Amino acid sequence: MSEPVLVRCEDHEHHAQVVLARGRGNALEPAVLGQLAAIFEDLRRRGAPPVVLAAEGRSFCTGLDLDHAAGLDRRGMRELMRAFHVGLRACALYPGPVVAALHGHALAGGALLALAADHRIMVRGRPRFGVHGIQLGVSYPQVAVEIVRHRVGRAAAEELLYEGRLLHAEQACERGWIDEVVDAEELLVRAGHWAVGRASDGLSLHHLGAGSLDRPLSVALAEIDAKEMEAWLDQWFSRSTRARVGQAREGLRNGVGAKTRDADSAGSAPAPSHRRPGGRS
Amino acid sequence: MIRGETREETRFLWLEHGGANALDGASLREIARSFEAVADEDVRGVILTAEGKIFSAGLDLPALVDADREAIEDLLDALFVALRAVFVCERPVVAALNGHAVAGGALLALACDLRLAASGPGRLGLTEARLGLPIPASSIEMLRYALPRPALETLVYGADMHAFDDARRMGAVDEVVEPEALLERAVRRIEAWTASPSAFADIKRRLRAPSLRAMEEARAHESAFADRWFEPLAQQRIRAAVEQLGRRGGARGRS
Repeated sequence: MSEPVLVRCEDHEHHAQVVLARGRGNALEPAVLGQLAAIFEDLRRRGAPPVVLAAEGRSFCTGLDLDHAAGLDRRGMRELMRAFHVGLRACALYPGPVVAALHGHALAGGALLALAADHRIMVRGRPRFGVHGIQLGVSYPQVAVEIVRHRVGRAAAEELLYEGRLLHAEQACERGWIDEVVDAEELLVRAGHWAVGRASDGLSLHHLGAGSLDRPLSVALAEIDAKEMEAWLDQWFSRSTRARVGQAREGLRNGVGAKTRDADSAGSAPAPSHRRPGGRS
Repeated sequence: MIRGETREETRFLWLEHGGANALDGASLREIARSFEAVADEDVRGVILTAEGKIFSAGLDLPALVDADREAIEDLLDALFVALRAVFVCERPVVAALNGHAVAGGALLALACDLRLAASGPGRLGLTEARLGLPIPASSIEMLRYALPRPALETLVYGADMHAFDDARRMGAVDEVVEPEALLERAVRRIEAWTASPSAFADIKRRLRAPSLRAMEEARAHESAFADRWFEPLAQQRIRAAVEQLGRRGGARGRS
């Protein structure tokens, strides 16, 4: 009963390359997140070599798998969010350097996964980067919010999460959401270079620093705050969020495609008609 | 002391207290009430601003110069309650800095989500140390959220006033705009954050929750402020500052 490989780990000479290979936008569901966490844990036991986190297919990662999530009851959704917490934490607190190599869209949970890495390199051109849950009326669990704040700082975190825009690499870089923009053919070389540079001579400077530098983050992510989790589930299962997520899925089914649809509407996200406060979900 | 006005689906709160919008216990508690009331109002966000050359000059020293320890502790409580109310307001809150934001006035601005400042002579600074006073421990926790580390240290330890452009380079001010465009720009910044008010409120709460906890825990260490207030150094400097204000007289009144 071998589980299909959804995340691959390739050993390179001086680093490991972890590749999201699920297909379907590499959307996140418990099996992908479980494999991701297991790979980081295994690498940690092997001395935490530098990691390039990459993906194959058209997108790096389009976020939580909404089709999967739509069928889940509260308990199932709680399990998914636990897996999300564990997967992101494994990447964020990995003792070696981690660089996300973004060849395609990194959207919502996919962008959050990239933000769990220490460094983000993205190709110029068509792909978009952003955390657009707010456009669907969806907030993010504590793990995500903590990672964003620790990685990009207060001002960039607020811009990223409050506006929910999906931007091309250059604009995302200007705002501090990603760190470097390269041409597609340079991506993996540059990413490998960055990761290995942080761990030269086998004496990982990164290991020595990250333990202390990331301490506040590791404290923040140590355990899942049950109350915060339930609060998040309350809003996920609220009627207004259900309706908006349903619309988003319908958009996908009608072949508009998350990637292109998001990309097209990204620059000028249309103001939703019911933007008035009041009806708190 | 606070004038409220709702237009363009936005709540405008105008600081109006003498020429300098100095803060005492009563005005701080009124600020807290105004922000708490926003939860029940059908508005997209809040703009905290003032008219004239000064946003707020900070604590109302002439009114406090003869205060006893109880009054100072009450003042500190009022400051905490006001900053907390601004910090946790579930709608987007923009400080539109028409002019100087000094000490407590700067703290008020830094509790908001964004600081837009009018280009011109306006400056921002945390000058408490110049009077021999510490910044209250809970306010420091709030500042730790609002400011990048180098700016936090420059503002707190340096205790200087900074031109808005310099404050922007530090990350203490988000944008500097022409004075006549200030409020319009503030309205637009709020609009950009209103895709989903409930999701906004939830994300904001989560972003700020650790700092809010730290603010509340820090209150246990705040008696240091009152201790300092009554030390000879601070007393001497507070009195000198009040005297100087008195000599300057009328126009600005208190600061």
